Amino acid sequence: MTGQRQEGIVRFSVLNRLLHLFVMVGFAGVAITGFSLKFSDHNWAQLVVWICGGAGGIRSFHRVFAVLTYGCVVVHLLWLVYFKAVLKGKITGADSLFPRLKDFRDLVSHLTYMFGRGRSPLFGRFSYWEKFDYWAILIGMNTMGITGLVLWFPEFFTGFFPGYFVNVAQVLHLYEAIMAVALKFVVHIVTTHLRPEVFPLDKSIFNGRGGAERGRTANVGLMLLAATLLWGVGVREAKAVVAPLMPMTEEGRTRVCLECHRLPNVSTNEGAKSSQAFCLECHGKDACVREDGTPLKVTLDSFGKGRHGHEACIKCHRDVSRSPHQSRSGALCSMCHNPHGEGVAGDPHLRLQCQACHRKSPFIEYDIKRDLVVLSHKDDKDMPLSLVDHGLADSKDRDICNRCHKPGNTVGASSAILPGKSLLCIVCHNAPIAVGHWVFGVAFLICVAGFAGMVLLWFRGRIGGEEASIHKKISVTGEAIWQTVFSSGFFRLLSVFFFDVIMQRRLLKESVRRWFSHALIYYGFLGKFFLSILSLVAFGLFPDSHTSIALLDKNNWLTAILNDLFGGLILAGIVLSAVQRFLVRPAHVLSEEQDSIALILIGFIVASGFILEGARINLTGVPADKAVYSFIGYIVSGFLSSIMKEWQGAYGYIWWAHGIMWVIFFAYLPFGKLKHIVTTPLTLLVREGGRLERI
Amino acid sequence: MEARRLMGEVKGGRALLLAVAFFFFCFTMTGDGLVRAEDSYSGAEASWLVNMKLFSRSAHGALSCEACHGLMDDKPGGHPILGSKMSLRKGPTERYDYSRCKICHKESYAQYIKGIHAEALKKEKTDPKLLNLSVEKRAPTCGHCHSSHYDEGGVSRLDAGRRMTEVCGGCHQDQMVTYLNGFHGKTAVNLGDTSSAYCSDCHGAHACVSLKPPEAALPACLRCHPKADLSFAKFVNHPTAPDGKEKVDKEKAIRVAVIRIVTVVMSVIVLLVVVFFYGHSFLWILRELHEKLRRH
Repeated sequence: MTGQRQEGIVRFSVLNRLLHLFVMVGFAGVAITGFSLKFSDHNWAQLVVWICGGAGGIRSFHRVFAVLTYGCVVVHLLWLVYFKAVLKGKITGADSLFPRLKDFRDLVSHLTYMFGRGRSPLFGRFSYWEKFDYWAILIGMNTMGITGLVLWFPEFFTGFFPGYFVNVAQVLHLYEAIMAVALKFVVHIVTTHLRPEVFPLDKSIFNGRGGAERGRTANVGLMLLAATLLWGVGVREAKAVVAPLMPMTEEGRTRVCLECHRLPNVSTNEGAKSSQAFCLECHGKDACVREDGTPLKVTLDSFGKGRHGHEACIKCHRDVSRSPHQSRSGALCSMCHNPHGEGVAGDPHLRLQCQACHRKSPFIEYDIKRDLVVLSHKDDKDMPLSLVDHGLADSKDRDICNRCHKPGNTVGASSAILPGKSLLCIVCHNAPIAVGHWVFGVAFLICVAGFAGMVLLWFRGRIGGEEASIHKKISVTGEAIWQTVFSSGFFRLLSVFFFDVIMQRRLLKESVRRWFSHALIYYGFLGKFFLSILSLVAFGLFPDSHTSIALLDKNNWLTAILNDLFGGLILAGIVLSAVQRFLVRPAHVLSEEQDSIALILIGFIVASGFILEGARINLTGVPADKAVYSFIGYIVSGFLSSIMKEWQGAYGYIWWAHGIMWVIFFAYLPFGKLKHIVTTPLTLLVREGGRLERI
Repeated sequence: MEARRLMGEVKGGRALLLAVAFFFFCFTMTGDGLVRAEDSYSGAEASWLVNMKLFSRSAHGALSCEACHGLMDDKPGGHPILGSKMSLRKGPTERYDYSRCKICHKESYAQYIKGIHAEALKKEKTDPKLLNLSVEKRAPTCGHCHSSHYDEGGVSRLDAGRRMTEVCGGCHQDQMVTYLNGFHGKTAVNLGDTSSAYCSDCHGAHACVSLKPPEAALPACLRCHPKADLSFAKFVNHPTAPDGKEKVDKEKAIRVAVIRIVTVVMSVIVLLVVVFFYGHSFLWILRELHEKLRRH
């Protein structure tokens, strides 16, 4: 019982209720318009600005809302003066919002209550968090108001202060805004309205005490929204149309110039051929050699027969037809081809130029400037190498892998050729729907067989006391499922799924601590699973979008943070449970053998995963400013490099240890304690379905 | 009673659906959309091959080749000999004699000659130390900023301003970042407010002057802020990290340092307060949920 107070007391006067309403609208408005200005390079912000009628419009809205909000603060302060001076009221004391020593004692005892020790304290008229709410908004609003005025009238204020105080005001305005939104939009709403004790709404601020009341605010809000939308449409200017200019004159020598210098349309066959002819003007001659003597002669005999024989040279070598005659981008395959994800080659191959595998030349090197493994212009004897042969290598040939994956390579690859990830790995990593190696296939079959056996076991029961055939039972079950899914009972199942399976309601009922340690593991896995499914779908649908590539790329900052965060959650949950199970050993916890096996197995899998990540960071030499986002892997990599310098050989063994442990986990899934991952949700849903039928 | 419970759960399902829809909305509204990479515009400019479709739409679309390039005959300075090594060495911005531009663009040329870029160019030509500068670090001439084949004429103030931000920002990257983070850049470039300031509104189009001392900046401020004074001009538009190579401007360094310290202090405060109260709310809800479930 917390935050409960006597019913019927007038907690908020009409003035306070009115002020709250105005501040609510004003603050929301000021926050939305302000952050739209701050994040004006994002699409959503530009949508808001568009609705408000452009940059001028949103500025006016921001100022109107700000005046409204700050006006409420002024009214409140004036009322306080009136209250004190004329009504002779008390501003300080136990019944007021003035902070007292008791509030700090309340905070401490409330925190101990939250950790499950002791009872919740009895709060006075205003509790400590309400006082914090009040003072935070009072001080915050004044900061926002004053800095906002400085930004509104910079000419006036720089009469008293030097100009860079405006910069300081900007900084204060931004950070105060972030804090206000982070606290008011989340903490205030959650603690005063959404807490289970008061959910869904503490109405006292709207009606003074209690009881239901329905206002017309929704309609007013809708009308306001419609009005602003219409206004935004009206204010929006039409785009200027560019009129075509005079046509080109084709007299004199201009036509002669254009015989060579016209950019051909390389999408057509004619254009492709003319582009080839332009380049072969030099590159078709024997005299075309580089300074070091490397021949640069390309013949249509060799090139024309290849897969790309009918493409224009400048279609791939896009930026080469210029002086100085050099290419910064190299031949760009990704203009026509999609990069492939885990399906064919793993995500570490994102830092490989396509040509490193797909061209016939076996010599490659690591270009540290571009952080890319590229075709080398020198062979193993450091002699210059001609790359004019445009033939493509057979990508099924394992020798291609051996270009990098050999002991002592200089490109940061492991010395072992590892199989691609399989479908089993999708629980934690982005993976294709494929079997990377037969070991994974076997584990998958064992798992499926185990669950099939379990289902068969369920079907051995009797229906209504009479023995029926399997077919009969399946049809009865199917009928029951159909009846449940296509009825209003479906929503009941949905709610059971959400509260009992996703939110783990039953575990929370037992103990907060158990829920917490289980939730760490559970949400860690759920997060990783969600991430890998998301990347599978995103890569399947948009293989060449930045977002999909970022999801595949382990070194992308967001992907790295999320992966390490979820992995860290699992590990923290395992450690917490292990401490509880093996060190604290409360009397009511029955430590079963199977539990310990599951716990230790998952612990080792996650730990080896992080060791693998650390080894990968060492191996591939990810620069520290990038690697630091994999915050756990980065620390591990520091430890690893102090143990041993060379991880190329060891990486393969750790990989297989990690993989085999996961294979054991998966094969063991239907037989041990771990089957609760599948059976518990199923049991809960079936039980709820059965309850429905009886109604 | 049962009906009410059922209603509540239907609402729960709807909330879940709404949450999923909101998530997808957020995913589609994030900045980097799911689109293919476009061809880069600047790559086309340096090419030997002229895209006639774009050229005919450009400001120079009505000119013939020789109007700018001359006759390109066999005389020295004419057309480079095919296959000769020297023909491939020099980029077009170095080869072309941009003083020819002044035949038509007199005013711009005069402005440029007065400006800081022309000063740097002069220094580059006389100082032997600067002879072997890389292409990126050379003083810019007309062709570095303007695309003579493809720049359209009669572009709007907004389009010119946005392109200007990219072009100037190509070399002055810190300045571009700070400009886009500031109020001027956000409103002018992101929101298309043409009453806000683009690069050339303060620094001049072809003169390109430095406005580091407040005295120099004041006339620029006065164009839009009629009541501005010297104190107003001490506003830091580009709070960049002090550059080691330049002469350290002490006064500016102090101003930037103050801004940075305030930023760091504020972010630490915000982080601590937010983390504490989020943890506070989370634990509280867990405990209350637990107790509520127990009572049922």
